[in-house]
Amino acid sequence: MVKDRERPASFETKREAVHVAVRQTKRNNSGQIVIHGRNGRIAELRTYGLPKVQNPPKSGTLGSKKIAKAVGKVVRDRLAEPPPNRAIKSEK
Amino acid sequence: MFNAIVFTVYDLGFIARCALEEDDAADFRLSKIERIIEECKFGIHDLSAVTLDARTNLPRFNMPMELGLFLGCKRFGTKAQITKRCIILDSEPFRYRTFISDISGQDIRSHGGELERAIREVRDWLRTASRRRTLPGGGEIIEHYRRFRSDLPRICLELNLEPDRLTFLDLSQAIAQWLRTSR
Repeated sequence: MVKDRERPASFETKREAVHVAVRQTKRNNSGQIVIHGRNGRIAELRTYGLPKVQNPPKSGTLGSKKIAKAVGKVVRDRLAEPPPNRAIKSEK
Repeated sequence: MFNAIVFTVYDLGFIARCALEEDDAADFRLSKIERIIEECKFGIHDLSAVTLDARTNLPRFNMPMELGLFLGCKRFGTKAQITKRCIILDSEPFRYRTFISDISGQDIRSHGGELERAIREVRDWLRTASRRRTLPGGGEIIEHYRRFRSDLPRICLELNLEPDRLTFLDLSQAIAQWLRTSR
């Protein structure tokens, strides 16, 4: 599935989805592609036209793995939600 | 305000440093600050928190002192230190003149206590100071921050924490991880 905030779309294969996502991101000049594996974990990250996000100087009390897991779950849950209803303007 | 600035720094591909990242109580606070200032090329000094304490009727003056250290480093430091750049933020234009007028002539900008203005000021300044061209725009960062803030309570719920109990390093980690997967 390719899901940007505006237009989610489904594809038969992962390869096809990645291809469309790359094309869409390059057309927008910048963006990020997050490719999830079957287990829902992030398999690959690609960034286009945006600076690479750097790690903090050290880990905090909770540990980076625990935080990554929590953030990943919240983001995946949000992506699984249906897109917000948008008003459709009638065409004249 | 502080969280918004930290978020902006990470969204722009830099690392936010702060004395709060050190938990070694044996280390003197000033030594921590000196070390961090020495290691950073760019400094963001927000003087808007310099207000009178309701109980003592005196202002907290840590920020201006840290700014002084940074400027001193830039003035008297080694070759690497003199290339330092900093931005000074305050809540209102020219308010600083009433309590620290000697810094006139530095790059001082006001954010009016508004997160969005602070994000745009920091972004525009860092773009010029770093000469990086592929940085997200101010509006884009504001939108990212708005979404991060709406996800943060759920992230904290997963961590069994209240959002205001996150330490600086854990917040930084959450910001960096969120930016990698969500912008």
